[in-house]
Amino acid sequence: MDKAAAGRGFFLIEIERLTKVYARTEHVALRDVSLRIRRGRVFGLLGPNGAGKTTLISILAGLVPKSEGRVLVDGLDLDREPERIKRLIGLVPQHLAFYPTLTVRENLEFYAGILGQRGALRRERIDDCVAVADLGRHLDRRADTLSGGLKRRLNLAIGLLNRPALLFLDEPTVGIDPQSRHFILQSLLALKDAGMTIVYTSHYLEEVRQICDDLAIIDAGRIVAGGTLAELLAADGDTLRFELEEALDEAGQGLLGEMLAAPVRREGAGRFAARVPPEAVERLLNGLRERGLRLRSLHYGSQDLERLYLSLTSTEPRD
Amino acid sequence: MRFWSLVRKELLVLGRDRHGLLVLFVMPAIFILIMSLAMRDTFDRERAVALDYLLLNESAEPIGVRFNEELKRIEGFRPVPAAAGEGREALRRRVADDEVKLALLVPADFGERLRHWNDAEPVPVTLLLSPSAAPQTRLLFELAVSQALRKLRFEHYVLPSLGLLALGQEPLGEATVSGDYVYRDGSARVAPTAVQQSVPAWLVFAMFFVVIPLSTAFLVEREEGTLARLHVMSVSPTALMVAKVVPYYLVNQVQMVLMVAVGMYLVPRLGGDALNAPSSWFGLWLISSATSIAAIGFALLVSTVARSGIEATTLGGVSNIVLGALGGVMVPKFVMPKFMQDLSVLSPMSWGLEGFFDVFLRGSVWREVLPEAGALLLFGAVCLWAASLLFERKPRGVA
Repeated sequence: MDKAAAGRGFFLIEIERLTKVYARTEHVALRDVSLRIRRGRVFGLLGPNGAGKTTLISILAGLVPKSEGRVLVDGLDLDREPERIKRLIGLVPQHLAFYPTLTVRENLEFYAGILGQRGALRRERIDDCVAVADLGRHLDRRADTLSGGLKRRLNLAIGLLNRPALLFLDEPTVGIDPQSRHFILQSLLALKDAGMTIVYTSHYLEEVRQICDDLAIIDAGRIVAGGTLAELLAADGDTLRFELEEALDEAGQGLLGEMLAAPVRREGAGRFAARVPPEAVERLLNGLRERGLRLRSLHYGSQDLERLYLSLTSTEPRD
Repeated sequence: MRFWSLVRKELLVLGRDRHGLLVLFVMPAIFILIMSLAMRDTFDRERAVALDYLLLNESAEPIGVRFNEELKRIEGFRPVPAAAGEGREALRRRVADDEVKLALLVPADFGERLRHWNDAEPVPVTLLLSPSAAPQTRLLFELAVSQALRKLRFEHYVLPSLGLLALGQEPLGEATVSGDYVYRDGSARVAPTAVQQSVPAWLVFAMFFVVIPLSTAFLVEREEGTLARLHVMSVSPTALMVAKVVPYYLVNQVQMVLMVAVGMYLVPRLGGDALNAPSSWFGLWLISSATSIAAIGFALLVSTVARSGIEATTLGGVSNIVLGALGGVMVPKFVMPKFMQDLSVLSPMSWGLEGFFDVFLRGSVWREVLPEAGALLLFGAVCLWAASLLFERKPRGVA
C-alpha cells in the first residue's frame, strides 16, 4: 500500500509479522504478530500479564525498537518516520506519569510546554483537556493530594494535550472506584465519537466489552484471536465445553474424542473443549452415561468474553 | 512464638536487602580501609613517613653546617636541600605552588650575626609555609627548629659559661624561627585559619551530594513512566539529561554562596575564625562551576547505572563517601602515606579541593585554577557522555 493511500485509509495502524526479542534475556516478547487497527475505533488489546501487550504498545509508541516486521501508522513507516508518528500519538501509561509535587495546572503546563505549545494555543489545549477529564475544580491542587480517580483523569488529560489521532491507554482504570471508571470510559467514548482512534489494554473484560469495537487477544507474544466482539463470540459458537468430576488421563481424553468424533483439548483438571456440531452433545452425554463418568457442567455455543478469554489463554495463573 | 516469627522475618528481609547490607557492612569496611591507610603514618612512629621540607642554608660557616646536622635529627621532618642555584624566590614560588608545605631559609650571615648578637634583635631563621599546611604541622616544626637552635646556643653559650667551652668556640646569641605564609600573588595576608581549610573540603563534599536528589528524581521519573511519556513527546534523552544540569548547577552555586557566607559572616559572629575572601572571585566561580559540572555528570551516571531509587541513593552515597575520604576531604592529603597520596589523585573531589585551596588559601589568580577546573570539566563531560550512552541503551517501555 502506498503511503498516501494508507494515510487516508481504513486502517490507522497496520502491523505485519512483528517480532520482538529482548537481546539481553533473549525473551521473545512478540512472535510474528500481524494486526490492523481501524481508524476512529476503540481497539482492545487483551492478554494475561507478560503476554506482550505493553511491548506492542511500546513499539508502536516508538519507545522500544522492534526486532523484525513492519509497522505503518497512518501510512507512515515506523522505521523511517518515527518522529512524525510520535506527533500523532498520545500515551496514557499504566503508571501515573506526572509529577506528584506539582499542581494539576503545573503538570499540564509543563507537558504543554514540552509539546511546544505557547500562549493562546496552550491555554486552549489545557482548557480542552481539563474539560474532558473534568479537572476544573482541582487545577491548583498538588497532584499527590488527588484521589486515585482524579490522578487517573490527570494522567488521561496529559495524554490528550497534543490532540492525538491515536491514543494508547495502558490499563487506565487500575485501582479506581466504579464512578471514576465509568467517567473515564464515557470520556473515551466521547473521544472516539470525535474521531480519535484508541488502543486500549485492560484486564477488566467488562470495560473492554463496553467500549471496544474491535479487539485482539494476545498470549505468549502471539495474537490468538482477533475481530469484533461479535465475530469472536460467533467464532466460538460451535465450541462445547464441559467439566467432569473425574480427571481423565490421556487415554480418557482420547475416549472423549471418539465420543465426539472431534479433537478434544484439555482446559484444566477435568475440563475439556471441542468444536463440534450440536448433535455431538447428545453423543457425549450418552457416552459418559455408558461409562459411568459424571458430568459437573456443560456449555455449548456462544460464550461470554471472559469465558472466551480464559479458554484462549487458559485459566492457569501467569508468572 | 509470634515474637520469634517477627524476628525471623526481620532477619530474612534484612538479609535480602542488598542495598541495606551494602550501607551497613561494605561501606564502613571500605571507609575504614581508606581512613586507616590514610592515617596510618599519623599514629605510627615506626613507619612514619617524614614530611619533606626545602632547606636553603646559605651559611657556609661551621655553625651553619652544624645547624644542618641538627635539622637532620628532627623526627618527622626531612630536609631536602634546595637545588644548586635555587634562590629564595624560587623556594618561595615552590611553597606558594604547594609543591612542598614548608621551606626553611638560613641566611648567609647566620654565624656572623649569632656571634655579634644583641637581645633586642634575634637572628631570624625564616620558615616559609604553604597556606594549606596544617597549623599543627607549623607548630611542631617551629618547636623542633627552635629546639635545634637552642641546642646550638647551649653548645656555644651555656657550656662556655660553665668553663666547658671547647677550644675555638665562642658564645652565640639567640636565633628565632619566624614563620611566613606565602601566597601565589605575593600578598601579605593573615595566617589561614581552620575554617579556611575546612570550608573548601566540606563545600566540595556537599556539591557532590547532588547525586542523591538528582538520581532519586531521575529514577522516579523512569519508574513512573514519566520519561517514557516525554520520549513519546519527542524529547531526546540528551535533552532530558542536559535539562537536569541547569537546575542542579544553580543548586550547587547556591550551596557555594551559602557556605562561603556562613564561613565569612556567621562563623565569626559565633566566636569562630572568619573565612577570608577568596583571592579571585572569578577563580572561585570557575572552580565552583567545574566542580558542579563534575558532580552533576557523576550523579547522572549513577542515575543511569542504578536500577532503582534506593540503589541510586546507596550507590551515590557510598561512592561519595569513598571519593571524599580518598580525595582529602576528611583527612588532609599530606598526612597520608605516599601511595595514598598518589591514589587520591584519582578522586575528582581532590581536584575540586585543590582548586578551592587555590583561591581560598594560596592566593591564586583565576588562571591558576584552570588545570583543576579543566580536569573537573573533562570528568563531568565524560560522565555525561557515558550516562547518555547508557541511557540510550536502557529499555524504556510504557511500564
